[in-house]
Amino acid sequence: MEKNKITFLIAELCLAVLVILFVRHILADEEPQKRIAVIVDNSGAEKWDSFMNGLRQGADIENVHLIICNTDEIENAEEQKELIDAQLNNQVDAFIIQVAPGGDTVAMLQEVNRIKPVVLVANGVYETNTSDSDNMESGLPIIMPDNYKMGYQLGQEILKQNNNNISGKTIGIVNGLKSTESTQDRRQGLVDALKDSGCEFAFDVYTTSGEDIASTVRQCKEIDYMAVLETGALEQIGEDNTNDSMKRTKVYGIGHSMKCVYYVDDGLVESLVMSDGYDMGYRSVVEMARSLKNRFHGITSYTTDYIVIHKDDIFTEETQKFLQTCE
Amino acid sequence: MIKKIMKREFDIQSMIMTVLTMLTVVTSVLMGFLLYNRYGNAMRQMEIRDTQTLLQSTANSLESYLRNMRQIEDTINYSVVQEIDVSDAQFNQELSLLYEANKDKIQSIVLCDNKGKLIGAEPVIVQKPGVEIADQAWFNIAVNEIENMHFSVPHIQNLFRDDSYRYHKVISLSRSVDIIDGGNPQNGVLLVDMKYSNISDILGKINQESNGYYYYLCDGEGNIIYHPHELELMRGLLEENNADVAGYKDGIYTDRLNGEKRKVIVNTIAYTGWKLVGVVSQNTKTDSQVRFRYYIMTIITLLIMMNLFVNRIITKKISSPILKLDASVKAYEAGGKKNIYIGGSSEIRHLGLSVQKSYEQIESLMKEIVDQQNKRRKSEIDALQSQIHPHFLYNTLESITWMIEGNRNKDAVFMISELARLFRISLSKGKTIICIEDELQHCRSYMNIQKYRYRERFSVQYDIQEEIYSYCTVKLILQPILENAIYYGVGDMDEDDDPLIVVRGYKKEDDIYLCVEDNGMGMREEDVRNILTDNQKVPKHGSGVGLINVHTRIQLMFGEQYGLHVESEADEGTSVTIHLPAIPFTKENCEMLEKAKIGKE
Repeated sequence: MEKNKITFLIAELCLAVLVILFVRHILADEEPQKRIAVIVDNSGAEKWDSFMNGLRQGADIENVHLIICNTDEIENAEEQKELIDAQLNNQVDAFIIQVAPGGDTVAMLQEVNRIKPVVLVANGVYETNTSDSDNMESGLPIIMPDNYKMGYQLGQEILKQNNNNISGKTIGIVNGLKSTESTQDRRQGLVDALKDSGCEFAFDVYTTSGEDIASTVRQCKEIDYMAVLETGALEQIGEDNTNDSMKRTKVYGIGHSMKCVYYVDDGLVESLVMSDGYDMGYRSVVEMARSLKNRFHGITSYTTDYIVIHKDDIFTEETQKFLQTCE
Repeated sequence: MIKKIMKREFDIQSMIMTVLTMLTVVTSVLMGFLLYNRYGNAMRQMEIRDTQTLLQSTANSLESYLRNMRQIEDTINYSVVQEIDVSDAQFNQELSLLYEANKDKIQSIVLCDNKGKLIGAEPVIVQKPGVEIADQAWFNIAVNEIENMHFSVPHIQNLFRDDSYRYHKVISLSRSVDIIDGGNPQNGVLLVDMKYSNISDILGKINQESNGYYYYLCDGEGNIIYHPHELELMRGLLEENNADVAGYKDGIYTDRLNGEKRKVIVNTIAYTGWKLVGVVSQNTKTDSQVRFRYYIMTIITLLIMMNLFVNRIITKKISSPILKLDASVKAYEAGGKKNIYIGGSSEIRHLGLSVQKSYEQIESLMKEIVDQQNKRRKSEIDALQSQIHPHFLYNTLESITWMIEGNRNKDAVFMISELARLFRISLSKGKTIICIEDELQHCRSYMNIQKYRYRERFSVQYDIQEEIYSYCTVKLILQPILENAIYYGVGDMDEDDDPLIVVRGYKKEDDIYLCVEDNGMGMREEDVRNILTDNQKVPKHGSGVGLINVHTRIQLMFGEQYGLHVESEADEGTSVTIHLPAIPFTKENCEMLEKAKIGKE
């Protein structure tokens, strides 16, 4: 066959292929939205408001569909695995997960990550013994605040608010769930901040699922300062404090809800360390969406910011900008 | 690379096809681009119009909402505050009724005196301890500018305790009012806190419906009241030109944000001076635009495909006769068929006819030239042959004269007989080609004549293979060689030295060799080198043209590879070898050779 004829046929063939591709594009339905499942402990709790706002805004910008699983307390890896399996059956494309308490959770999540990409939020993997948010042991990207620093900051606040003079004073620590990395880190940060202050740690309690931590604390001996390191516990103790049950005790806390802020506004809590839940939600969904759209986009771990709120600066512009995300 | 391509030779079909294809592609792509651009612009204009319409409609809704708020405040002011004493229980009842009727829009209603002391509020809730009304912005602006109603930017209400531990985002509408407290008229401030959610719902709805565009609301100073990405803006994750837009009047503007070109449509809200802004990004592509782009690309590709097909047909139609003509000319040049292609359009047909005619003329001229050449060669050969005759005749007759003068009549008779035989062969009925046998006979006759002349002073030996007798030769080629052998070889030798001339003849492979050897004085090496050239340095004796004559005749007849080969050594002798092709002496071969058209090759 002559050369010109071959060239002509090849050109026509290439153009025909192009036409087929274009027609496919014309006839193709819109690409279905990527589906990302979000599994966090007690998802309806107020402490997740800003996180959920961030998630929704990020999902809106990246045009992904969020499935926020309706959960109560997730006490262990097994419960979390059940939720994950349900969403796998629901054909989700990725997961944003808060690690459930327990040492065996990480292995389960690594297994899930082999099937669908996973981003961890809020807290890292238990027993890592590291303040570095980039958790190398699990190999999973984590977007969360630096819990150790938050704990440390709370300790600093106790010192600052009391003119660095708390020697001989008694302090009670109210922790979150015992087998979580965030609880460990926050507590360690607090203890490190106060270790040279001369104060006495009167009690050190952990919340458990379904327990009224306020009544537990009431049974403990009276103390000068209380450091509450978990949102739910702070809300309970704040509410209990409205009943003037702990007149003498000054409460300091770490919390992520508007209720906690309100307690600061009411003077029931002296200082509040509040992490940027909105940024955590926004970044986690944006990073995950970009990773799903572009397989070469790797998700890197990120440490979100936090602020310290006092009664006097709740209505400042800076704090308001931060708090608007919680509405 | 381009130079390399340019240097390449293309056939006419490729050239026409390439040019047409390029034109087709460029035209089609340009057409598609213009069409798409036109459609894109039309779509964008339409979108801008839609956005304007939507903005106007939303502005109307907002104005209606704000008007409603003003009306509520007017009602509170004129029907309650100015009519009823605040210390009267009816005051709170009326205020409560108005609140209940509008609580879907209103967060709270507050009346305070001009010192900031709370007089009344709905719903009845506890004022937050430590909160000073006099420090709040809405209060101060109402006190300072008593003649107007004042809309604030959205803010978190910081007045009352909330049992559900929630904060409320509100827009405050405040104004200075005249109140009657215990019968005493005085000034106060009326505050109606509007629920921000009502405004965010209106704008949120249009942002949800928009396809790639967004709408936001800012006050006259550029402070954001509503923005779909308000939180990102607050955190610096995104940027907005709200500060610039606040200075715009109603209309359509083009601006740039982070290098992105956008159309900004501004609509001012009555009563407040707020700016409702629609942003249409020039880079945003709607689904219909994307689909239309694929439509255009499909049509362009199909158009190119179709044009390529048509181009090929046209190209073939144009180039095929030219290519056929070219092929036939090439075939003719390569010595193949002589039919020149005549076909295609009238121009190509004419060209073919012209080429054919030219070739016919060239052939005719060539034939003519060849004939002329043959004739010229023949005349040259004839001229060369004719150079021999007078010379030889002169020598022989001189010898016969000497014999007759010496009364050697018998010898003279013999000489004349040999001369007659010699002439018979020389003439050969005018033919140039004779058989070797005749040539040898001619040689013998000649030598017999010469031997008489030289009184048998030298001997002649013949060593001839009989098989060569029947092969062709040019006539009279041995005689000049023998003449030279006598004159320069053995002619002047003493008899005691046994002068001898040997004539050999043999066939070797497809060639015939005739060799004349003498044991005479020989020649210098330089003479041997020049003897077969037409070099004037070599003295020419005897026939005058000598060996060159013979050599030229053989080469003219049989080709360059034949002719004479001379070997000589001083005082030893000379050997001259004639190299001829072995062509059988037949009538056909003789005729062809006579026409000088065949050779040994």
